[in-house]
Amino acid sequence: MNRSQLRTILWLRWQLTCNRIRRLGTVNAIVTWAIFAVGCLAALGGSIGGFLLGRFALAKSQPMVLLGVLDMAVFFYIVLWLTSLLVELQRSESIDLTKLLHLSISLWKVLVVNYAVSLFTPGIILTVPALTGLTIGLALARGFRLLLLLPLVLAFVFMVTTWTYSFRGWLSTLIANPRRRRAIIATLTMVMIIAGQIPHLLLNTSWARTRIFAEIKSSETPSRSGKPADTNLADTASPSPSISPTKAVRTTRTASRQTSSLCRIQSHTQFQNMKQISTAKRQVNLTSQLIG
Amino acid sequence: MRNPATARAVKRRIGVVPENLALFDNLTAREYLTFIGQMYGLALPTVLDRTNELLAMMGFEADEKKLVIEHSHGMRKKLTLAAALIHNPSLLFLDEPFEGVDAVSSRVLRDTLKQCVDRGATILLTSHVLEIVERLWPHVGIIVKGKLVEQDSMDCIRQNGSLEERFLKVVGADRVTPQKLSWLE
Repeated sequence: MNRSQLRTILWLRWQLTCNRIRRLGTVNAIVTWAIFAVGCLAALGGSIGGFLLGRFALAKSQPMVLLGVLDMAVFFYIVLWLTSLLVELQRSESIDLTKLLHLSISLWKVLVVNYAVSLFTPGIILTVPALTGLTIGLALARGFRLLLLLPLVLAFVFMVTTWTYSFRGWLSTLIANPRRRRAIIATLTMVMIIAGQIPHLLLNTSWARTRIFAEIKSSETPSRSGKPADTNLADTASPSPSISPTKAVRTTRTASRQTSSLCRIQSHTQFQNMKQISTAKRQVNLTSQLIG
Repeated sequence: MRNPATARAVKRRIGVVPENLALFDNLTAREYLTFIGQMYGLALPTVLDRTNELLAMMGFEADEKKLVIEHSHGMRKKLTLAAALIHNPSLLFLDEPFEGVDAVSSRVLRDTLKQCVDRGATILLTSHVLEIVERLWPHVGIIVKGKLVEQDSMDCIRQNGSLEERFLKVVGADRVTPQKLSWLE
């Protein structure tokens, strides 16, 4: 495929999009172009916002916070991707390679061009510039090693989009039969909605809640009867007449709650945060001295 | 033909009207012809000139702004034939070009194809309308269940009757007595 043919393929794609919008009618065309303009502005804003976020807001944040921000961006991208997948599938305006088989062009190059053009989806337009800005901002704020995030982001995007491209092609062949078309689109929509509800189903249903509460209860039991907390609490249980009994009881309870919760964390996560435990113990001792 | 470059060179000399027509629904006739001409590597001025001529000949001038999806089946057939002719091919493969085409359009198509043959092009056409084939083509092949079972010149076929009789004989349908409907007896 020479340059002229490449230009023609791109022109074809552009013309198909323009004509499709034209066919929608004047009002719909205006709305579509307005959405397109807002999308472009959002992409620009996203890239600047991402840069500022990385350069200033996340400059000294914890790695977990960074991870959370990236997870949110990925989640946002996946939601947009799922939506655009369904929309594109129904439009089916991607260039069908079977229509080009008789032309004197290399088909694998058309495939690559078609794939490259298919990357201009709302998900990518909104997410990739923002993540690129974020990466550059982070690299400036925390060191250029963070530029490695950029190939990772691109690899993720290409991984999802190539799979989608292949999946969409397969689905297009399936929905070529109009009888099957509606059933497939309805099933896909339901699958995507249910897939989006999986975290909710796992965490917020009654059986899941019962299970989680049972786990918490079982993890609380040993810490309440555990020796380190209870030994000290036993010592501090009797209030001294030198201070107000109510105050002493309240202080003791607070200290015991801290110790108990720390023990719980310890039993849950197996982390030995001895410093915090010793601080809490010191508080208990201090309270007992005050009481004494 | 295994060499992709050779295959592309050969395709440049072939024009095709496929069964599914291979049109893009959201293009106008002019846009489609421009696209095809450019894909065959023609210079843009040549493409524009030939497009104008083809659109005038096929009767698309009145519906310049109509998209392919809005055209009738016959108009789409004509557009596909126009696209197959735009690069002046020496070999044409036409799959049922007269199916669903009105009488006027059919006449235009026939004249265009005859012009191609007179110029020296070879046309391979499949059709179920035997009268058209008999009237237009000097050589005929009969395909039964995907196999070419008979191939002859039209002159030889005419010596022993019509093409239809020959076809029915080859297919074996001449021995079958057609079933009649009782309420029409």
